[in-house]
Amino acid sequence: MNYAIETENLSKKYGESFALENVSLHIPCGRIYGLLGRNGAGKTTAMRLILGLAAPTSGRIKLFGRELANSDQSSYLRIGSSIETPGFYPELTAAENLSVFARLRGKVNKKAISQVLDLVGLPQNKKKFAEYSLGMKQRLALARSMMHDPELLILDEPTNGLDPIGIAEMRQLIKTLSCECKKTVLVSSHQLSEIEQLADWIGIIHRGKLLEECSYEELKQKERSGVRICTANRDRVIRFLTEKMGLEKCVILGNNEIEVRDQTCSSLEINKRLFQAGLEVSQIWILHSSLERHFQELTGGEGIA
Amino acid sequence: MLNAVCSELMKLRKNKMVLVGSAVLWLIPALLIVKAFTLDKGMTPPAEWLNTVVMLNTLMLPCVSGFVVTSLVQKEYQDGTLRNVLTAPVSKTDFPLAKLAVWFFWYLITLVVSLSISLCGYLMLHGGEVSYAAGLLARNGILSFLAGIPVLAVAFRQRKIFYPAVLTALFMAMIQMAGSQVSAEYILPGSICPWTAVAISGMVPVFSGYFGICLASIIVCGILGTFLAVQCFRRQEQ
Repeated sequence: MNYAIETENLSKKYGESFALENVSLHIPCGRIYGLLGRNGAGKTTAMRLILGLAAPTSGRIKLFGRELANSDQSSYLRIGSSIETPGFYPELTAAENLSVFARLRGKVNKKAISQVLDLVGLPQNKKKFAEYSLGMKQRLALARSMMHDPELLILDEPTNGLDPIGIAEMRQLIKTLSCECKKTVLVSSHQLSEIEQLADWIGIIHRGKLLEECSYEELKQKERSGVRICTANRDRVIRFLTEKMGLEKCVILGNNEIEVRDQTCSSLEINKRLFQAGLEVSQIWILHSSLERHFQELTGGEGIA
Repeated sequence: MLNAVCSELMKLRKNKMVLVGSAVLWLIPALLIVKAFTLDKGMTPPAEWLNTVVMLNTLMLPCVSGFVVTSLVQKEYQDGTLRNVLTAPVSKTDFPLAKLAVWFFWYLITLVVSLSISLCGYLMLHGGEVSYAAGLLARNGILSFLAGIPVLAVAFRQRKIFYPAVLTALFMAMIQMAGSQVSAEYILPGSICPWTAVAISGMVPVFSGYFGICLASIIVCGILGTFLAVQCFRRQEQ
């Protein structure tokens, strides 16, 4: 498989603490890679290191199969990016801002600027950037990243500040860029629902470490279902489940709840056998694993926010 | 580098601080001319009038220039545009050099127009030969710019904060003013200090040793300031 970005044991240390520790990312070409993590997990730090905005403490970065050298800028011409809050010149309009950044690359293509502004749904009028809403600023950031038709897009929380319609449009646009235009997209988010709907590949990052990296298909195969039981006779019920029914993966939760993760027995069978044993159950329901649950399990119970 | 400079020039047109700075510096000689005609009734001796222009230029040009360069640099940090610029990509060496180039471009335009207004005023008031005056003002202006380049390094060092670079520019302007009052026994140390050297270079013969020392000191200051600005920016993370 070809990778647009590969990092090998990438680390970034500030003082005594690691913002990123031995992170080895593999972003396949032509796919959408979702980098998922809480606020402060290290997602933006990873992107900044990849883009050369900060120097790594240790580790290696490869872009398009070539290791990054200090003086090598050519790879960055193939990348479009949007990192953190959108930064533009407040006294300039959208088109003027894009012209300034286009000029940095060489030629200003007014037609391309006009097309990309239409694509992200921004008006081409005399409104200055200082008067834009957060959603409009985010759209302009995306326009800037796409303007020169890059092969790789690195987007740091691109739906931040967008309304639900805007989020759906942004998601559709990113999918179109990947599927139809064959672009590779690295997108970071702390919103599980967004990554679930968007990404082909997922990397879960927590406290500077990459906990898991796999395709979304592989992740779904790890999905487990289970049964949760609420009962006043918690200890008796769990003894019955483990000793009499032979269910191994039973976990005691708080509030008189037991979670059965063993899939050898259906919820119907469990309910029936408990009833026959005279063990009262106040509630029983079926669980489906989700990315949120998987994230919680990986991070030791910490949620996404 | 050329792309970065062209991009900077595009931004320059909409930079209010730059426009205001130029307007202020152009107003000074214009107002001096108006004063000479209306209040002094054209009775001011040529040397005295020229001296006043030089003194005000010596003070105001570096001060306003400090505001302008601080604005050029500080806005990038404040608006968060540096990340977008560097990922364009623009190298961390080219960016400060482009800022220096644009700063010099603004300075040159402003100086030339200011000089033209001053010389027109001199011709209207006193007539006669202006080449000496033109040469003196132009030389003074260019050397003042070179001696002021370290302000660029301070501007990059301070990031979003405005006042350190402005205060540095003011301090340099004060030292330049003090240079015009240097006595004969202190002319050598005054020539070695780049900021006093700007004023001393206008008072000593062009082919004298002191002029050479002044020139060397100012050029070294300019080169060092450029080097420090580039090094300071290269070490920063965005």
